[in-house]
Amino acid sequence: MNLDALIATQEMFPYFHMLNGPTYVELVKDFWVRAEVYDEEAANNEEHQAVIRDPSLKGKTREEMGLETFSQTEIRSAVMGVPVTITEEIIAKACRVEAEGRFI
Amino acid sequence: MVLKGESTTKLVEIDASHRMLLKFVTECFLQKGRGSDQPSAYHKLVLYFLASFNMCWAIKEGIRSKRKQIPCGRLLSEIFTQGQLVRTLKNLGKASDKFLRIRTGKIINGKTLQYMKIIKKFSPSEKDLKESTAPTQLMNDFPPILKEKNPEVLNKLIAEFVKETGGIMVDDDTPAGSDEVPLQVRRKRTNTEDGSEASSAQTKKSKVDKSEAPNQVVSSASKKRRKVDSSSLVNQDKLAEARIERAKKMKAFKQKYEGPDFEMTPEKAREAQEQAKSMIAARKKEKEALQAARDAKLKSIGIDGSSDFLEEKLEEMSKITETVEKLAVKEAVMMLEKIPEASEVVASEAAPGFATKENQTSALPSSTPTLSSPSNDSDQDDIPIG
Repeated sequence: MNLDALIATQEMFPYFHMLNGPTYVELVKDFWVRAEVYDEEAANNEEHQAVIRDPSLKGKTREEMGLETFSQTEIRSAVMGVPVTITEEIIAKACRVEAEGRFI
Repeated sequence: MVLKGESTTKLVEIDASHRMLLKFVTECFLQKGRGSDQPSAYHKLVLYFLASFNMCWAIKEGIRSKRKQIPCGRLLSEIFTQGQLVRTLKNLGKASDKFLRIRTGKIINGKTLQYMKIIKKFSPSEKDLKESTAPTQLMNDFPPILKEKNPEVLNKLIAEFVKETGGIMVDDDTPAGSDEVPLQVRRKRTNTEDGSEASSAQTKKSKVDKSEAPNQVVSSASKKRRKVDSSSLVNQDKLAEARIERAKKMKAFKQKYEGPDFEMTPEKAREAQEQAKSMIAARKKEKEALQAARDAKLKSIGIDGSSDFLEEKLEEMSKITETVEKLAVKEAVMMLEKIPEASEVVASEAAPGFATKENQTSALPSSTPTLSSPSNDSDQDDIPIG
């Protein structure tokens, strides 16, 4: 079975080339234990928490609440105390693919 | 290609070889978690799986349940490299190559297929992929992953992290290959008829004993061995019981203290124990200080603060009260004897509370007061109505 055509269509050859490289076990573990997904649900929860703390903020925008604007899903964590944020764009860049869709 | 360009193509309409290919791709390259989730052809495949589905799902699962697998370890490492996190840490002198514990993934090649007996002969080629530990070239337009780039701030953050976690290994002071400890394979344990765990060696020995000398007189050595065996079995039973009890206690403890947001781990339990110890010690010190201050105050007044002194004083007080009571009764009796008419009038008109002093004293509690209430007094309870 020849997988070349499928992988070429998906533009995944650079991804497989990237896979052959070093893995920093300690950093990955450190990142993973502190990782949390900041998605729409988490953003809504953040707003609710802000309203619970200060009821006068009800009905106001995130900016008015003093919160950061939610633009996309993020993976937030810290590596050795240094805050790290990973977005879809970063993952796409690391995979060497465009952040666009494609049918098989 | 597989779906012939149409995203609405049904699975049954795909060629058998392509269907297998799709299965291969969906279950090997684009792994999904347990469940019936199937990737839709409408989704951005790589990003959907890696970002939204695989990594985010794994993080959420890790928080919700006790999933310990970390997916995309190499991809995360690549992000750390391209995001210049590794370089920053190395520049700050906070991470050495040994601390980072560099690993490389295994490569599936013809040799693997030969081991799997899928191909008979493997002929290696120069073009074959080889494991590489060299970091990839940095991209110029890679989006930043660090929000903070000021080295001073980063240094402070790392210093705080070191304080909290107890330090990181910066120098290459670990022996070479310390992280390459061979995996320990757990021995299989056999269950005896009683259900207790016994090592395979013991069962083998007993089997040998039975088969070799069925009719022989049991020697003293074998007797001893059996004694040891039986004692070890008893010990094992005790150990098993203790283990079950400990598990029960732990379960109860977890049910009591664990919530959806808090999970008790051995580390946390240890921390809590240490904190409790320190708090108890602090309270002890406070108590001692208070006692010392009280003693000093009493001494300054001229009173000995010991418990013997207080007991003596209490005894004296009780004696004085007794003598005073006796004197008062005597005087009252003498007065009543002198004026007999008055005593009669007083006796007939006075309320029960003003009865004779003798009665009063007899009604008075003895030196040890009782807490019993007079509710069982029939004189007051049995008053007829009307």
